[in-house]
Amino acid sequence: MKIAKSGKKVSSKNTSQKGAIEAARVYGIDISALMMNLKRTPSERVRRHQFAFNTLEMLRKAKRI
Amino acid sequence: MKRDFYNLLERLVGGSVDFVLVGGFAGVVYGCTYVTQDVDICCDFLTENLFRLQKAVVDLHPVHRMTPERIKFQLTKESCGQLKNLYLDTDMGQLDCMSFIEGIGDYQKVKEVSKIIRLENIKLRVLSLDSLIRAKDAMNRPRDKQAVIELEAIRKLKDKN
Repeated sequence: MKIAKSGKKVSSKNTSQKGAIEAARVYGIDISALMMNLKRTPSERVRRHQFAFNTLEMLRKAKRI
Repeated sequence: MKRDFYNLLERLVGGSVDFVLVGGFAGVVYGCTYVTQDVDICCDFLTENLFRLQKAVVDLHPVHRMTPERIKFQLTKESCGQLKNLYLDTDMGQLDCMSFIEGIGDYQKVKEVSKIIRLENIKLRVLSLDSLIRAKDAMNRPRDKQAVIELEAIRKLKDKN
């Protein structure tokens, strides 16, 4: 339990959730990409991840040559 | 052969392996945008389940990737009893199998806080979003911290919609 400036007691979960999007933005995470991903089904997310993974693998192999 | 994480999971489900998807790939299922290099599962380390796991990946040339000689993954009834974790490399990708998840507990606890999610043609158990955040938080490695930030943002965005 944390104490807010107002003196009210607030749970740490609520505090962290309130600023979660802002914290991610500050960290450098692309929030619009996250929002787009949330519109997709889990299957689509996995398929897109596989495509990105394959591309990275291809680049890694190309670097080795 | 191209590495394919979905194929790996499809084999585990098809092989009736008792497991829960955890780790970075579970984050991808929930919407994380990073690229992970392996599939992490928490599974029942009972002998029968480990043999089912072995059968499911046997034709993918599985090896213990943490051993310098990359020893072939070949279970015996005796070796099963000593295992706590398995770090495998297969033709379809790296597969890490854990018997315990930091911040959650053993396989039964992990199963209790999992949910069934449909992926293409399979249904599998995935650690719940809240529990995944708790597990990643407990690991406390730099890459886990980044995952926690992304997962917390996803939780907030989901709450909003």
